[in-house]
Amino acid sequence: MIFFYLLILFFSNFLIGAFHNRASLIVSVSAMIEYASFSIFFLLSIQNKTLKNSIFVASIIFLSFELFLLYFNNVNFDFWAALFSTILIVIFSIFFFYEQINSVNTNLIIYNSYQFWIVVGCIIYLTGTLFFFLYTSNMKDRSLSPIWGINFVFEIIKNICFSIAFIVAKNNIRKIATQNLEDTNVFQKPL
Amino acid sequence: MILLQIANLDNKVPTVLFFGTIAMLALTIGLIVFIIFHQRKVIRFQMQLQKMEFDQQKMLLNASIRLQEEERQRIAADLHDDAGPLLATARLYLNENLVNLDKTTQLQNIYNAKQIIDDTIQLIRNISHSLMPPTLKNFGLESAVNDLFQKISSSGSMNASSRFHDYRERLQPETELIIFRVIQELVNNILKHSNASFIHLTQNTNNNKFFIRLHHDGRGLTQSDFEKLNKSSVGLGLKNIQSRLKVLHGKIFFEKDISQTYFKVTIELIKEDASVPQ
Repeated sequence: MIFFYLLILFFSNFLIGAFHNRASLIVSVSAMIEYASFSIFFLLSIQNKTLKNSIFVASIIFLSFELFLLYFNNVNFDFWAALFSTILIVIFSIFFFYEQINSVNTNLIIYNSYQFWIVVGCIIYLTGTLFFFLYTSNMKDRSLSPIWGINFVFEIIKNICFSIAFIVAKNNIRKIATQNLEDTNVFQKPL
Repeated sequence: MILLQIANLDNKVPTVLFFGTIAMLALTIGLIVFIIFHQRKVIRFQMQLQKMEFDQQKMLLNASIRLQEEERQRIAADLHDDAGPLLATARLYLNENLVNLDKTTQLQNIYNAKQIIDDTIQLIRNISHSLMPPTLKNFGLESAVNDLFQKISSSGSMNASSRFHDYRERLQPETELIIFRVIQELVNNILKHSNASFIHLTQNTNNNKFFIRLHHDGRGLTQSDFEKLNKSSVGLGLKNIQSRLKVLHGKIFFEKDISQTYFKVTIELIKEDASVPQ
């Protein structure tokens, strides 16, 4: 899911470079995909049914609202999209953290799970770029703005967090595989 | 000041944007750090709880092993000190020289040996009854408790009575034995330490729960005393009660009556866990 999102983000950056006149539309669509990817990730990571349902309902309402704004070519699209998506993702992150803290398997330290690093990447990126997107919401092409670097900085931080998540996930898989191998090693066990 | 200078650097990054971003970032990092530290605290607390539970389990296990050993020693002592000499005496009466004795002495010796063997049979029966009371096995908890209380009352030192209000169906034999042993231990404690003049036991059920209550007017324990003794190295009998009830997922409460004149011990069990499966 996250890999798919990163691919889309990568191509959208190319598309913005290629079609400067449609940059605003590309940014809006990629923002929607970004929000959808994050919310699907939270839907998959959170186990509590009530929290899952609230995420699902909030996301449907928010995406419909974004589509509505996009369809009527509202100039304030970016402002509302950035504001609400950040608020919602921060709330979903709190849901995630809340569930992790109250989880039965609390012996696992939170930063040893790959989901934690993805959530950290998401919220650092979204909260870090919130003011930037609010500030540049009226610009036709914000990539031409002299402060576009802020977005780059937070994208790098986000990508570092995602890379850590991939490494942690790989290590966890390897650890489980080794554990299974040890469990099934009949030669070491007395008969 | 340094931050302000950075913010106003060539006026490239507006102050609101700069401080807004920094504030949001600080809040986010604060939240993440809080979560990590809070989780570590929760884990530490849970580990401490687990350790305490483990220690408690170990203590209960030790108590139960010690009690088992004491029981074995008691049986061994009974057999060695009582049954052994009795059988040895009987053997003396029935030695090889018996055939050389006159008929009257022979008959007297055989009669004496028979008497001793009867005593030994009675002794072994008593040991066997103390291991598994036949009344409990054949007639159930109510009869066994009544029997026990009757014996206490007939000794004259204490007035003991029991009343089973809702005991139409017998419980599982293992459950009955555990409950009986707990009652025995409690009664034994009351006899030894409380200096009470009466014990009254009542049984009833309420909302799928099976209750046994013991009242007495002597010196008793409260729940805090029980917990304190349970955690200390003394109070082997109480630990034994606790470990027995743990098998039945039962609870025990020690309290002083509202009237402050009696002490009350309540044993609470889930009826489904205790009754005979259909």
